[in-house]
Amino acid sequence: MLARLALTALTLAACLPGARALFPDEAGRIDWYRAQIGAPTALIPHTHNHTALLYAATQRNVVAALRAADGQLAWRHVLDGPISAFSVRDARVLTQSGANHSHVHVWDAASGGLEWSFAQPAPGRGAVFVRDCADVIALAGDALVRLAPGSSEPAWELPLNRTAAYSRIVVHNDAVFAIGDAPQTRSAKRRLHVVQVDAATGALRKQYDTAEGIALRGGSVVVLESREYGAYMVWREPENIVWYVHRLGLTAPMWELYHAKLVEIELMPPDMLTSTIAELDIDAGLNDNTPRFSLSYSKDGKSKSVVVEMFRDGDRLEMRKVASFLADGSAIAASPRRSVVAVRPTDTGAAWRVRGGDKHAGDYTYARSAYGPVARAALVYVGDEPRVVVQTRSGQLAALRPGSSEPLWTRNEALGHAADMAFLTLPPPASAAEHAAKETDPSVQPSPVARYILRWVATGRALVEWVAAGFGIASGDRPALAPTEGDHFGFRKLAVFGASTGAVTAVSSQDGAHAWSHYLTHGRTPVRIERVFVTRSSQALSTDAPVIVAAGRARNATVVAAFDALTGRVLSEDTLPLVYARAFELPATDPATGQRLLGFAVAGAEPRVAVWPPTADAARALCAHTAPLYVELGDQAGSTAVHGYRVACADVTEPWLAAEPAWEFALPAGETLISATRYEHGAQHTALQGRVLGDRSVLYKYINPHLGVLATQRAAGGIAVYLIDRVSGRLLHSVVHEQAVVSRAHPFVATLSENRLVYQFWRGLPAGYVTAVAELFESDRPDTRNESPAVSSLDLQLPSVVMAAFVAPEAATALGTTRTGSSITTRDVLFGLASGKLLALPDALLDPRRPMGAPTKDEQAEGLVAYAAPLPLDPRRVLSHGHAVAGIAHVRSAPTHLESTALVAAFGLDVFFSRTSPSGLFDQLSPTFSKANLVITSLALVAGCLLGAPMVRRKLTTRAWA
Amino acid sequence: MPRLVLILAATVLASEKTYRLRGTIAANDVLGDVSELATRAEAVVNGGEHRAFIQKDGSFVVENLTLGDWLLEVASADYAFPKIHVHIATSEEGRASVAARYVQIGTEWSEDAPVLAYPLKIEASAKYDFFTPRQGFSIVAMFSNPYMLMVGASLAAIFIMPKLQANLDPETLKELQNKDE
Repeated sequence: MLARLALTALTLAACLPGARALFPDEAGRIDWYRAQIGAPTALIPHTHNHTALLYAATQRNVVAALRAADGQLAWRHVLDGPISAFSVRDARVLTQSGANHSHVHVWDAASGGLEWSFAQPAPGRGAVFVRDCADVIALAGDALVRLAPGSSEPAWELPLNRTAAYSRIVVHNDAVFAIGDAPQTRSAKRRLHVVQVDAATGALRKQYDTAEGIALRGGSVVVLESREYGAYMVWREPENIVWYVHRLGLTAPMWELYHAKLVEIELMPPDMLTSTIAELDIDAGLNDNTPRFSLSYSKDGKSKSVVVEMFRDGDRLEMRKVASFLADGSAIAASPRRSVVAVRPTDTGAAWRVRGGDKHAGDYTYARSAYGPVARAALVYVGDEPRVVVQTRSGQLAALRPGSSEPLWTRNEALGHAADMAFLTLPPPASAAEHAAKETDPSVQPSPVARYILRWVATGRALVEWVAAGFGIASGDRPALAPTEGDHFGFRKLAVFGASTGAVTAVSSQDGAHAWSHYLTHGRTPVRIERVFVTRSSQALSTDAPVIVAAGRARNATVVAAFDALTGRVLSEDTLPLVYARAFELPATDPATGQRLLGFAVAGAEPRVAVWPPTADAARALCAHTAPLYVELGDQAGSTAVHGYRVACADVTEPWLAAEPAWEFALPAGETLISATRYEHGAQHTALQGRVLGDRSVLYKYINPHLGVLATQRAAGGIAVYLIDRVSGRLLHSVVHEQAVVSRAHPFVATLSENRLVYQFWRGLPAGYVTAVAELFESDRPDTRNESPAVSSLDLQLPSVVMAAFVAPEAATALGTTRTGSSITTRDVLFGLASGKLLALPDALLDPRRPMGAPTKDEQAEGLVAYAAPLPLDPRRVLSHGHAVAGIAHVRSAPTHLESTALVAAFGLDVFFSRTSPSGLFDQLSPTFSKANLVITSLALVAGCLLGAPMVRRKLTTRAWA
Repeated sequence: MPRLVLILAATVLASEKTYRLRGTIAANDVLGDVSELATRAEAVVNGGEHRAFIQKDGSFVVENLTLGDWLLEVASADYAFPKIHVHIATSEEGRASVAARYVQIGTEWSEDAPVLAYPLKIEASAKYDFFTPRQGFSIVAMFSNPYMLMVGASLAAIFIMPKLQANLDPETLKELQNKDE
């Protein structure tokens, strides 16, 4: 059987078009890759072997170590769910993560290698290291456990019987404390519940309530852990100016300290009542003996913060002020040394001060409109020099040092939250001649004639320079291309990302160079950007700038912002008072701005389509469009019916149009929608109306731009896939996969392109992942097509569908299809694999017409190869080569000016861009083309002519005399 | 073939008993240093239903598996690993056993295949080669170039034909010339 498989694979390899594999020198030249971690939720500095590292736990469930010197990733792991505990101690990193279950992982802090792990069948609520040994105390669900490395069973386990919502664990000497919010009842106020457990045996020693009126996450309580002095809680009761200091486990008396001026600050009661406290040593490993916290308050109209540390003077517990800062919007962080840093926003960006040990200060000059205000800070030392790492709300990380307002390094972690991306074709660069001309006379217009003349002038000048320079490399004064400057082949585009953190980021598709950024907010809330559109593209010789529009949600509103795509300047920002179900491009342009109109479909009792730009003229321009507009709603996951609406255009006086019910596609009983797929922009284009068969007859392709694909989960098991027409709501085809399983671990992914649908699902064992391909034709008979004079969704013939299923090589998290300018080139199907590979499989491999047996002569003439179920994972078709592109959620493609070549992008967490040529470089010189050969051949021809000419002349002369 | 029966670590849940699957990635000629997999590979069961990180020594533990059939893969960006069918069952005495076999995707799983030792020991089968080497200068390739063939033919016409003509018998040559006329 294996031999047969190997033979099949060999046959496939021999029959399929040769893979256009990368050459080693192309890696990193035609592609770029950026490993992201997402916006951190905690940053802990630490030094190992004289290397300063910054450990991060992030919103994207990533734990990572960044080198403080250059911001590069030392190591990274993408965990299986939200991170509920994160700690660094004794060259080890502890994480607890998971959604419905939890995993405790202990990592080697230097290499990132896993040391040991433990799984618990409940969500994690906290985990900490036990001091001076490698054990871990973890709380998951209701079970408190002590875990030891190398042991598959916990040393002890104690069920806490749901007496409180525990979320904090403290270990001190021989005691473990679990602290949680006690349940609030009519008779009992909000308070904290503490359970004390014997650390060695897990025996319950004591449990009690304390801190009446206090919740753990209310900004009014801190837990301080000191190796020498014990573990304490400090809080201030609501409506009370007095501070309580409680030693955990000591209930008689309940308070060790009880004072109104605990933190050496004398405040008037109103100021004290609005103050908040926060823990600074977020990881107990940062400061073992004198734990610190910050008190933020307002005095005389100014916001201030003080940093306070706990210590003991003889028998007396004391609190002393370490540093004070102006604090409006500040982020304060502690370092393993005594120093603390505070970063506060200023008019030009941010200002930072280090106090408490060292004294340093500096500024960070950046545009707050680009990256948002400061969200978090960290202080790490490289040698003895401080590095202040500032995190902004959009997810940007910047490292600063004393004496410079320019960051040492930055990381744009907003890209790790990208929800959508649009390619913008850039205008070609001005030629060297134009550069030269513009330097002397900026008024020169780039007309074709002027360009032609100037090009020759500049070329002549360059030739003279080259000769003058002794045939060396001419220096040239042409500046390097800016990220917003295109090229003649269309390889350089602008990739504009919209992120859920509110960040809009434009980078060059060629090399990832940053062009511009913007932080989009609604009030102070970041807009959760979901879509990015190109509403006006680059036009040659046009003075109108291309426009990018980002749209997203913020509270109960929709925010739509338009940007000059070349500069990032905000052209308009509109807040639409609606919650949209779907945002899409409309088939009309705004008469005022020349931009493509956008539609925001709103569901509800009175469904409607809001038009952007939000003007009645724009809505009227849409109505002037001759074809009626249809929109469907209810195609989100979980729905049981999809409804189609026809947009009504009567008496348009508002920037929105009513939607009238047109059709309903009710799913069969027991089915719920899991996914809806439609054509990506331009994916329905085709250059060939049909497939030429081996006998020269033609099977005509069924191309319907309104094709929609619905995948549903069946109550009886399996999935169903429906192909519908999105204008008439008519069912075109359906197929049921009874053994398919779709879940969070096994997503359904699909791509629709031309007349072909490709989707992948988990079919259980032994099949594993199955890639199904459906190809739509107008008829199953060759040379037969729909002869209707008008092609209309309302008068449709049903397609003839040819299907085949293949065994996928690996789990895919996203599918895409390559796109080229004229759609002449065959298309590769792009698989974003869970293992981080971006795999491009050729059209021919996924052809549903592949014959089951040996192909006949006609089938061979058609280019068909024999069917084989497994799709090979050919590493030479892995575009991402050695990069592990984590978390691929979207795979996109864009055409270039060369028909052979398509740009491809994969993003989700990491970002990867490359270009590929599915049919080879037929419009370019072959990469193996030898210019040396050409030169040698030409020289040989010239030499031949030179040698031959005298001989011929002599012969002619001889003949003439004869 | 005798079925290898081994005791698995079992975790009792309220609803269903779950098991841990242990394995180790062993060094071989393809992969000499397994520690390089620690941050670049994962053990994946059933295409992502269960995942486990790989420890520095190459060992891994997949948690929360129930009785039944599972497909174990090692997902790596750099190395190919064999796929393993893992069958977890209980004996009549209630003891858990595992039977693991190499499988190919897209084929029926046969029980005739040899059972692997437990804990599993997996070796990399290949290192992915993503690149095609560029062709260097080749004299054969150069002379098989159409340009060079044209040049060769031209040179042959220029240099060899006159010599052939010279060797011809004068009468034959005259005949040929008369024919041309």
